[in-house]
Amino acid sequence: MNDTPPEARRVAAALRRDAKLDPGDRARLLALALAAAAPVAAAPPAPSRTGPPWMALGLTAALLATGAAWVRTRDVPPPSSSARAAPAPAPVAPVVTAPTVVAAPVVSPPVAEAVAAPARVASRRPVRPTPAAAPTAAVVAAQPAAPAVAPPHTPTLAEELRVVRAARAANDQGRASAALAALGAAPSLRILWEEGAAERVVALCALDRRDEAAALGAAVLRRSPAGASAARVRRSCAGGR
Amino acid sequence: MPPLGVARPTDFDPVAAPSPAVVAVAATPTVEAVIAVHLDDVVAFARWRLRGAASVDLDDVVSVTFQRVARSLDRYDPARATVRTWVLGVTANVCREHIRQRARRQENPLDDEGPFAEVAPGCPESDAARREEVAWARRLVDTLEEPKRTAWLLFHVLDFTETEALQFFQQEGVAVSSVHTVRAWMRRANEKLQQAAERYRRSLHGE
Repeated sequence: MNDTPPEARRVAAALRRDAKLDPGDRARLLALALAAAAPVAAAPPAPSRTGPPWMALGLTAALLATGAAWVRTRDVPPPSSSARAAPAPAPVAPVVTAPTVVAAPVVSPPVAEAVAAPARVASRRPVRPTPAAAPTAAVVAAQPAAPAVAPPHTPTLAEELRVVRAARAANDQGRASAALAALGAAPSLRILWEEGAAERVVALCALDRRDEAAALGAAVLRRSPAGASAARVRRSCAGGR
Repeated sequence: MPPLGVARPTDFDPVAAPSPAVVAVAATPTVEAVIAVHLDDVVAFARWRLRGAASVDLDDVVSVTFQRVARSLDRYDPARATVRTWVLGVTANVCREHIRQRARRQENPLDDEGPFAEVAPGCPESDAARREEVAWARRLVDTLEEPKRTAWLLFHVLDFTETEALQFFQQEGVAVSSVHTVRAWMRRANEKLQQAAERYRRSLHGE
Protein backbone atom coordinates (compact mmCIF):
# COMPACT_ATOMS: atom_id res chain seq x y z
CA MET A 1 0.00 0.00 0.00
CA ASN A 2 3.01 2.24 -0.44
CA ASP A 3 1.38 4.07 -3.32
CA THR A 4 -1.83 4.59 -1.36
CA PRO A 5 -2.44 8.26 -0.61
CA PRO A 6 -2.54 9.19 3.09
CA GLU A 7 -6.27 9.96 3.15
CA ALA A 8 -7.09 6.64 1.52
CA ARG A 9 -4.93 4.95 4.14
CA ARG A 10 -6.88 6.71 6.88
CA VAL A 11 -10.17 5.64 5.33
CA ALA A 12 -8.95 2.06 5.13
CA ALA A 13 -7.76 2.10 8.74
CA ALA A 14 -11.12 3.41 9.97
CA LEU A 15 -13.07 0.80 8.02
CA ARG A 16 -10.75 -1.99 9.14
CA ARG A 17 -11.29 -1.03 12.75
CA ASP A 18 -15.03 -0.93 12.16
CA ALA A 19 -14.98 -4.35 10.52
CA LYS A 20 -13.65 -5.95 13.69
CA LEU A 21 -16.34 -7.97 15.37
CA ASP A 22 -17.30 -7.53 18.98
CA PRO A 23 -16.41 -10.83 20.74
CA GLY A 24 -19.98 -11.36 21.89
CA ASP A 25 -21.36 -10.86 18.41
CA ARG A 26 -18.69 -13.12 17.02
CA ALA A 27 -19.59 -15.93 19.40
CA ARG A 28 -23.26 -15.56 18.48
CA LEU A 29 -22.57 -15.52 14.73
CA LEU A 30 -20.16 -18.43 15.09
CA ALA A 31 -22.90 -20.44 16.77
CA LEU A 32 -25.35 -19.48 14.03
CA ALA A 33 -22.93 -20.46 11.29
CA LEU A 34 -22.07 -23.79 12.90
CA ALA A 35 -25.73 -24.59 13.45
CA ALA A 36 -26.60 -23.67 9.87
CA ALA A 37 -23.83 -25.86 8.52
CA ALA A 38 -24.45 -28.68 10.97
CA PRO A 39 -27.11 -30.69 9.10
CA VAL A 40 -25.02 -30.70 5.96
CA ALA A 41 -21.80 -31.42 7.79
CA ALA A 42 -23.48 -34.25 9.68
CA ALA A 43 -24.61 -35.94 6.47
CA PRO A 44 -22.69 -39.00 5.30
CA PRO A 45 -19.47 -37.69 3.79
CA ALA A 46 -18.75 -37.74 0.10
CA PRO A 47 -15.46 -39.32 -0.96
CA SER A 48 -13.20 -37.34 1.27
CA ARG A 49 -10.94 -34.60 0.05
CA THR A 50 -10.79 -33.17 3.50
CA GLY A 51 -8.08 -33.38 6.08
CA PRO A 52 -7.84 -36.12 8.65
CA PRO A 53 -10.89 -36.56 10.86
CA TRP A 54 -9.01 -35.62 14.02
CA MET A 55 -8.48 -32.17 12.58
CA ALA A 56 -12.19 -31.50 12.17
CA LEU A 57 -12.95 -32.94 15.58
CA GLY A 58 -10.22 -30.96 17.24
CA LEU A 59 -11.22 -27.77 15.54
CA THR A 60 -14.88 -28.24 16.38
CA ALA A 61 -13.99 -28.90 20.00
CA ALA A 62 -11.80 -25.80 20.06
CA LEU A 63 -14.55 -23.74 18.49
CA LEU A 64 -17.14 -24.95 20.93
CA ALA A 65 -14.91 -24.56 23.94
CA THR A 66 -13.83 -21.07 22.98
CA GLY A 67 -17.33 -20.10 21.93
CA ALA A 68 -18.63 -21.33 25.25
CA ALA A 69 -15.93 -19.35 26.97
CA TRP A 70 -17.15 -16.22 25.23
CA VAL A 71 -20.72 -16.93 26.17
CA ARG A 72 -19.73 -17.51 29.78
CA THR A 73 -17.60 -14.42 29.82
CA ARG A 74 -20.61 -12.40 28.76
CA ASP A 75 -22.56 -13.77 31.72
CA VAL A 76 -20.00 -12.57 34.23
CA PRO A 77 -20.54 -9.13 35.74
CA PRO A 78 -17.88 -6.56 34.91
CA PRO A 79 -14.89 -6.72 37.22
CA SER A 80 -14.28 -4.01 39.76
CA SER A 81 -11.81 -1.31 38.89
CA SER A 82 -9.12 -2.93 41.04
CA ALA A 83 -9.70 -6.25 39.35
CA ARG A 84 -9.48 -4.55 35.98
CA ALA A 85 -6.10 -3.07 36.88
CA ALA A 86 -4.65 -6.49 37.59
CA PRO A 87 -3.18 -8.39 34.66
CA ALA A 88 -5.76 -10.59 33.03
CA PRO A 89 -5.19 -14.28 33.54
CA ALA A 90 -4.67 -16.43 30.49
CA PRO A 91 -8.01 -17.58 29.10
CA VAL A 92 -8.87 -21.10 30.09
CA ALA A 93 -11.39 -23.07 28.10
CA PRO A 94 -14.16 -24.21 30.39
CA VAL A 95 -14.83 -27.87 30.95
CA VAL A 96 -18.06 -28.48 29.09
CA THR A 97 -19.98 -31.17 30.84
CA ALA A 98 -22.42 -33.28 28.97
CA PRO A 99 -26.01 -32.71 30.02
CA THR A 100 -27.36 -35.43 32.24
CA VAL A 101 -29.64 -37.79 30.43
CA VAL A 102 -32.98 -37.58 32.13
CA ALA A 103 -36.00 -39.73 31.62
CA ALA A 104 -37.61 -36.85 29.83
CA PRO A 105 -41.33 -36.41 29.49
CA VAL A 106 -42.62 -37.09 26.03
CA VAL A 107 -44.97 -34.14 26.21
CA SER A 108 -43.17 -30.93 25.40
CA PRO A 109 -43.59 -27.77 27.43
CA PRO A 110 -46.43 -25.59 26.27
CA VAL A 111 -45.75 -24.06 22.93
CA ALA A 112 -46.80 -20.67 24.24
CA GLU A 113 -43.74 -20.77 26.45
CA ALA A 114 -41.56 -21.58 23.49
CA VAL A 115 -43.21 -18.90 21.37
CA ALA A 116 -42.24 -16.28 23.92
CA ALA A 117 -38.96 -15.97 22.15
CA PRO A 118 -36.23 -13.85 23.62
CA ALA A 119 -35.80 -10.53 21.86
CA ARG A 120 -33.39 -11.07 19.00
CA VAL A 121 -30.31 -9.34 20.21
CA ALA A 122 -30.98 -7.88 23.59
CA SER A 123 -31.93 -11.10 25.27
CA ARG A 124 -28.95 -12.89 23.83
CA ARG A 125 -26.81 -10.54 25.80
CA PRO A 126 -27.50 -11.13 29.45
CA VAL A 127 -28.18 -7.96 31.36
CA ARG A 128 -25.27 -7.12 33.58
CA PRO A 129 -26.04 -5.84 37.04
CA THR A 130 -25.24 -2.18 37.46
CA PRO A 131 -22.61 -1.34 40.04
CA ALA A 132 -25.24 0.54 42.03
CA ALA A 133 -27.55 -2.43 42.13
CA ALA A 134 -24.88 -4.98 42.94
CA PRO A 135 -24.22 -5.35 46.68
CA THR A 136 -20.72 -4.64 47.80
CA ALA A 137 -18.56 -7.37 49.26
CA ALA A 138 -18.90 -5.82 52.72
CA VAL A 139 -22.68 -5.81 52.57
CA VAL A 140 -22.73 -9.37 51.40
CA ALA A 141 -20.41 -10.44 54.21
CA ALA A 142 -22.55 -8.73 56.84
CA GLN A 143 -25.72 -10.47 55.77
CA PRO A 144 -26.70 -13.79 57.29
CA ALA A 145 -25.91 -16.70 55.06
CA ALA A 146 -28.83 -17.45 52.82
CA PRO A 147 -29.82 -21.04 52.30
CA ALA A 148 -27.83 -22.42 49.42
CA VAL A 149 -29.96 -22.38 46.32
CA ALA A 150 -28.42 -23.60 43.11
CA PRO A 151 -28.64 -20.87 40.48
CA PRO A 152 -30.65 -21.82 37.40
CA HIS A 153 -28.40 -23.55 34.93
CA THR A 154 -27.66 -21.45 31.89
CA PRO A 155 -26.74 -23.70 29.01
CA THR A 156 -23.47 -23.06 27.27
CA LEU A 157 -23.21 -22.73 23.54
CA ALA A 158 -21.83 -26.27 23.35
CA GLU A 159 -24.78 -27.63 25.31
CA GLU A 160 -27.28 -25.76 23.19
CA LEU A 161 -25.64 -27.05 20.04
CA ARG A 162 -25.73 -30.59 21.39
CA VAL A 163 -29.45 -30.31 22.21
CA VAL A 164 -30.33 -28.93 18.81
CA ARG A 165 -28.30 -31.58 17.04
CA ALA A 166 -29.91 -34.34 19.09
CA ALA A 167 -33.36 -33.00 18.28
CA ARG A 168 -32.52 -32.67 14.60
CA ALA A 169 -31.11 -36.18 14.45
CA ALA A 170 -34.23 -37.52 16.13
CA ASN A 171 -36.48 -35.65 13.71
CA ASP A 172 -34.47 -36.86 10.75
CA GLN A 173 -34.91 -40.43 11.96
CA GLY A 174 -38.66 -39.93 12.34
CA ARG A 175 -38.51 -39.98 16.15
CA ALA A 176 -40.55 -36.86 16.85
CA SER A 177 -41.25 -37.70 20.45
CA ALA A 178 -37.57 -38.13 21.12
CA ALA A 179 -36.90 -34.75 19.50
CA LEU A 180 -39.44 -33.09 21.77
CA ALA A 181 -37.99 -34.93 24.73
CA ALA A 182 -34.50 -33.70 23.92
CA LEU A 183 -35.73 -30.13 23.62
CA GLY A 184 -38.00 -30.42 26.64
CA ALA A 185 -35.33 -31.85 28.91
CA ALA A 186 -32.88 -29.08 28.15
CA PRO A 187 -32.90 -25.70 29.81
CA SER A 188 -34.44 -23.09 27.53
CA LEU A 189 -32.25 -22.28 24.58
CA ARG A 190 -31.02 -18.75 24.23
CA ILE A 191 -28.38 -18.54 21.54
CA LEU A 192 -29.88 -21.23 19.34
CA TRP A 193 -33.51 -20.47 20.13
CA GLU A 194 -34.56 -20.39 16.48
CA GLU A 195 -32.83 -23.64 15.65
CA GLY A 196 -34.44 -25.36 18.63
CA ALA A 197 -37.84 -23.90 17.82
CA ALA A 198 -37.58 -25.10 14.22
CA GLU A 199 -36.88 -28.64 15.42
CA ARG A 200 -39.83 -28.40 17.78
CA VAL A 201 -42.03 -27.31 14.86
CA VAL A 202 -40.92 -30.28 12.78
CA ALA A 203 -41.63 -32.65 15.65
CA LEU A 204 -45.03 -31.14 16.37
CA CYS A 205 -45.95 -31.53 12.71
CA ALA A 206 -44.93 -35.16 12.78
CA LEU A 207 -47.16 -35.70 15.80
CA ASP A 208 -50.04 -33.94 14.00
CA ARG A 209 -50.08 -31.11 16.55
CA ARG A 210 -50.51 -28.65 13.73
CA ASP A 211 -51.92 -25.68 15.61
CA GLU A 212 -49.00 -25.65 18.02
CA ALA A 213 -46.59 -26.10 15.13
CA ALA A 214 -48.18 -23.21 13.24
CA ALA A 215 -47.98 -20.87 16.22
CA LEU A 216 -44.35 -21.63 16.90
CA GLY A 217 -43.47 -21.70 13.20
CA ALA A 218 -44.96 -18.23 12.77
CA ALA A 219 -42.74 -16.96 15.58
CA VAL A 220 -39.65 -18.37 13.92
CA LEU A 221 -40.60 -16.90 10.55
CA ARG A 222 -41.30 -13.51 12.10
CA ARG A 223 -37.90 -13.37 13.74
CA SER A 224 -35.81 -14.73 10.96
CA PRO A 225 -37.71 -14.95 7.68
CA ALA A 226 -34.68 -15.79 5.56
CA GLY A 227 -32.60 -17.91 7.91
CA ALA A 228 -31.84 -21.59 7.78
CA SER A 229 -34.36 -22.26 10.54
CA ALA A 230 -37.06 -20.48 8.59
CA ALA A 231 -36.35 -22.70 5.62
CA ARG A 232 -36.79 -25.75 7.83
CA VAL A 233 -40.07 -24.39 9.16
CA ARG A 234 -41.32 -23.65 5.65
CA ARG A 235 -40.69 -27.23 4.63
CA SER A 236 -42.79 -28.43 7.57
CA CYS A 237 -46.57 -28.41 7.99
CA ALA A 238 -46.21 -24.93 9.54
CA GLY A 239 -44.86 -23.47 6.34
CA GLY A 240 -47.90 -23.99 4.18
CA ARG A 241 -50.20 -21.62 5.99
CA MET B 1 -4.80 -11.93 6.99
CA PRO B 2 -1.73 -13.84 5.89
CA PRO B 3 -1.95 -15.81 2.70
CA LEU B 4 -2.85 -19.47 2.66
CA GLY B 5 0.06 -21.74 3.16
CA VAL B 6 1.39 -20.02 6.25
CA ALA B 7 1.08 -22.76 8.83
CA ARG B 8 1.25 -21.56 12.40
CA PRO B 9 -0.79 -24.14 14.28
CA THR B 10 0.35 -23.01 17.70
CA ASP B 11 -1.11 -19.55 17.08
CA PHE B 12 -4.51 -20.88 16.19
CA ASP B 13 -7.30 -19.24 18.11
CA PRO B 14 -10.49 -19.73 16.15
CA VAL B 15 -12.46 -17.04 17.90
CA ALA B 16 -10.14 -14.18 18.60
CA ALA B 17 -7.59 -14.41 15.83
CA PRO B 18 -8.41 -17.03 13.27
CA SER B 19 -5.42 -18.35 11.41
CA PRO B 20 -5.65 -19.93 8.00
CA ALA B 21 -3.26 -22.63 9.10
CA VAL B 22 -5.87 -25.33 9.32
CA VAL B 23 -7.27 -24.38 5.96
CA ALA B 24 -3.82 -24.51 4.48
CA VAL B 25 -3.31 -28.07 5.69
CA ALA B 26 -6.23 -29.54 3.82
CA ALA B 27 -6.78 -29.10 0.09
CA THR B 28 -10.50 -28.80 0.72
CA PRO B 29 -11.11 -27.75 4.30
CA THR B 30 -13.83 -28.88 6.61
CA VAL B 31 -16.80 -26.58 6.89
CA GLU B 32 -15.91 -25.91 10.54
CA ALA B 33 -12.48 -24.71 9.44
CA VAL B 34 -14.00 -22.50 6.76
CA ILE B 35 -16.36 -20.97 9.29
CA ALA B 36 -13.59 -20.41 11.83
CA VAL B 37 -11.27 -18.76 9.36
CA HIS B 38 -13.67 -16.79 7.18
CA LEU B 39 -16.50 -15.79 9.51
CA ASP B 40 -15.05 -12.31 10.06
CA ASP B 41 -14.61 -11.69 6.35
CA VAL B 42 -18.14 -12.85 5.64
CA VAL B 43 -19.56 -10.61 8.35
CA ALA B 44 -17.52 -7.59 7.28
CA PHE B 45 -18.52 -8.07 3.66
CA ALA B 46 -22.19 -8.67 4.49
CA ARG B 47 -22.32 -5.63 6.78
CA TRP B 48 -20.96 -3.54 4.00
CA ARG B 49 -23.38 -4.95 1.42
CA LEU B 50 -26.41 -4.73 3.72
CA ARG B 51 -25.68 -1.18 4.72
CA GLY B 52 -28.00 -0.06 7.47
CA ALA B 53 -29.78 -3.36 7.81
CA ALA B 54 -30.73 -4.62 11.22
CA SER B 55 -28.66 -7.31 12.87
CA VAL B 56 -31.45 -9.75 12.10
CA ASP B 57 -30.59 -9.41 8.41
CA LEU B 58 -26.94 -10.00 9.13
CA ASP B 59 -27.79 -13.13 11.11
CA ASP B 60 -29.88 -14.44 8.24
CA VAL B 61 -27.20 -13.79 5.67
CA VAL B 62 -24.47 -15.41 7.75
CA SER B 63 -26.67 -18.40 8.44
CA VAL B 64 -27.71 -18.94 4.81
CA THR B 65 -24.19 -18.31 3.55
CA PHE B 66 -22.61 -21.02 5.65
CA GLN B 67 -25.47 -23.40 4.97
CA ARG B 68 -24.71 -23.04 1.27
CA VAL B 69 -20.99 -23.26 1.85
CA ALA B 70 -21.51 -26.52 3.73
CA ARG B 71 -23.75 -27.85 0.99
CA SER B 72 -21.40 -27.08 -1.87
CA LEU B 73 -17.98 -27.36 -0.25
CA ASP B 74 -17.28 -30.59 -2.12
CA ARG B 75 -17.71 -28.67 -5.37
CA TYR B 76 -15.20 -25.99 -4.45
CA ASP B 77 -12.43 -25.87 -7.03
CA PRO B 78 -9.12 -24.51 -5.67
CA ALA B 79 -7.91 -23.99 -9.23
CA ARG B 80 -10.52 -21.29 -9.79
CA ALA B 81 -10.42 -19.31 -6.57
CA THR B 82 -9.10 -19.30 -3.03
CA VAL B 83 -11.49 -20.51 -0.36
CA ARG B 84 -11.93 -16.95 0.84
CA THR B 85 -12.82 -15.65 -2.60
CA TRP B 86 -15.26 -18.48 -3.13
CA VAL B 87 -16.89 -17.97 0.27
CA LEU B 88 -17.25 -14.24 -0.33
CA GLY B 89 -18.76 -15.02 -3.73
CA VAL B 90 -21.40 -17.09 -1.94
CA THR B 91 -21.88 -14.24 0.54
CA ALA B 92 -22.33 -11.73 -2.29
CA ASN B 93 -25.04 -13.91 -3.85
CA VAL B 94 -26.85 -14.36 -0.55
CA CYS B 95 -26.70 -10.60 0.11
CA ARG B 96 -28.11 -9.88 -3.33
CA GLU B 97 -30.99 -12.29 -2.81
CA HIS B 98 -31.63 -10.91 0.64
CA ILE B 99 -31.74 -7.35 -0.63
CA ARG B 100 -34.09 -8.38 -3.43
CA GLN B 101 -36.41 -10.15 -0.99
CA ARG B 102 -36.46 -7.13 1.28
CA ALA B 103 -37.25 -4.85 -1.63
CA ARG B 104 -40.07 -7.14 -2.77
CA ARG B 105 -41.60 -7.11 0.67
CA GLN B 106 -41.01 -3.35 0.77
CA GLU B 107 -39.88 -3.56 4.36
CA ASN B 108 -37.19 -0.98 4.59
CA PRO B 109 -35.82 -1.85 1.17
CA LEU B 110 -32.08 -1.71 0.91
CA ASP B 111 -30.31 -0.19 -2.02
CA ASP B 112 -27.68 -2.55 -3.34
CA GLU B 113 -25.61 0.26 -4.75
CA GLY B 114 -26.66 2.91 -2.30
CA PRO B 115 -24.66 4.63 0.37
CA PHE B 116 -23.71 3.23 3.72
CA ALA B 117 -26.00 3.91 6.62
CA GLU B 118 -24.54 6.39 9.03
CA VAL B 119 -24.10 3.78 11.72
CA ALA B 120 -23.74 0.10 11.07
CA PRO B 121 -25.17 -2.47 13.44
CA GLY B 122 -22.70 -3.32 16.12
CA CYS B 123 -20.99 0.05 16.11
CA PRO B 124 -20.53 0.93 19.79
CA GLU B 125 -22.58 3.88 20.90
CA SER B 126 -20.04 5.03 23.41
CA ASP B 127 -17.15 5.76 21.12
CA ALA B 128 -18.36 8.93 19.46
CA ALA B 129 -15.04 9.85 17.90
CA ARG B 130 -14.65 6.45 16.36
CA ARG B 131 -18.19 6.50 15.00
CA GLU B 132 -17.57 9.88 13.50
CA GLU B 133 -14.42 8.66 11.81
CA VAL B 134 -16.18 5.57 10.49
CA ALA B 135 -19.03 7.69 9.14
CA TRP B 136 -16.48 9.96 7.46
CA ALA B 137 -14.72 6.96 5.92
CA ARG B 138 -17.97 5.53 4.63
CA ARG B 139 -19.04 8.81 3.10
CA LEU B 140 -15.78 8.93 1.21
CA VAL B 141 -15.99 5.33 0.04
CA ASP B 142 -19.54 6.00 -1.15
CA THR B 143 -18.17 8.51 -3.62
CA LEU B 144 -16.58 5.60 -5.50
CA GLU B 145 -18.45 3.84 -8.25
CA GLU B 146 -18.83 0.10 -8.62
CA PRO B 147 -16.81 -2.02 -9.21
CA LYS B 148 -14.03 0.28 -8.00
CA ARG B 149 -15.63 0.55 -4.60
CA THR B 150 -15.80 -3.20 -4.10
CA ALA B 151 -12.28 -3.67 -5.45
CA TRP B 152 -10.95 -1.03 -3.07
CA LEU B 153 -12.74 -2.53 -0.07
CA LEU B 154 -11.64 -6.07 -0.88
CA PHE B 155 -8.05 -4.96 -1.21
CA HIS B 156 -7.73 -2.40 1.56
CA VAL B 157 -10.20 -3.62 4.18
CA LEU B 158 -10.36 -7.38 3.65
CA ASP B 159 -6.72 -7.75 2.57
CA PHE B 160 -7.48 -9.43 -0.71
CA THR B 161 -4.62 -9.81 -3.14
CA GLU B 162 -5.14 -8.41 -6.62
CA THR B 163 -5.48 -11.97 -7.94
CA GLU B 164 -8.15 -12.78 -5.38
CA ALA B 165 -10.00 -9.61 -6.28
CA LEU B 166 -9.82 -10.58 -9.94
CA GLN B 167 -11.20 -14.04 -9.14
CA PHE B 168 -13.96 -12.46 -7.09
CA PHE B 169 -15.10 -10.25 -9.96
CA GLN B 170 -14.90 -13.11 -12.41
CA GLN B 171 -17.11 -15.16 -10.09
CA GLU B 172 -19.49 -12.23 -10.01
CA GLY B 173 -19.68 -12.18 -13.79
CA VAL B 174 -17.92 -8.82 -14.13
CA ALA B 175 -16.06 -8.57 -17.44
CA VAL B 176 -12.47 -8.29 -16.27
CA SER B 177 -9.63 -10.39 -17.59
CA SER B 178 -6.45 -9.33 -15.83
CA VAL B 179 -5.10 -7.97 -12.59
CA HIS B 180 -4.00 -4.87 -14.49
CA THR B 181 -7.63 -3.81 -14.71
CA VAL B 182 -8.15 -4.41 -10.99
CA ARG B 183 -4.96 -2.48 -10.27
CA ALA B 184 -6.16 0.40 -12.43
CA TRP B 185 -9.51 0.45 -10.59
CA MET B 186 -7.70 0.64 -7.29
CA ARG B 187 -5.38 3.40 -8.45
CA ARG B 188 -8.34 5.41 -9.68
CA ALA B 189 -10.25 4.70 -6.46
CA ASN B 190 -7.31 5.93 -4.39
CA GLU B 191 -7.15 9.14 -6.40
CA LYS B 192 -10.88 9.70 -6.02
CA LEU B 193 -10.74 9.06 -2.29
CA GLN B 194 -7.91 11.54 -1.91
CA GLN B 195 -9.85 14.16 -3.87
CA ALA B 196 -13.05 13.47 -1.92
CA ALA B 197 -11.17 13.78 1.38
CA GLU B 198 -9.72 17.11 0.31
CA ARG B 199 -13.15 18.36 -0.77
CA TYR B 200 -14.58 17.22 2.55
CA ARG B 201 -11.88 19.07 4.45
CA ARG B 202 -12.44 22.23 2.43
CA SER B 203 -16.18 22.04 3.08
CA LEU B 204 -15.52 21.82 6.82
CA HIS B 205 -13.51 25.02 6.62
CA GLY B 206 -16.20 26.73 4.55
CA GLU B 207 -14.00 27.13 1.51
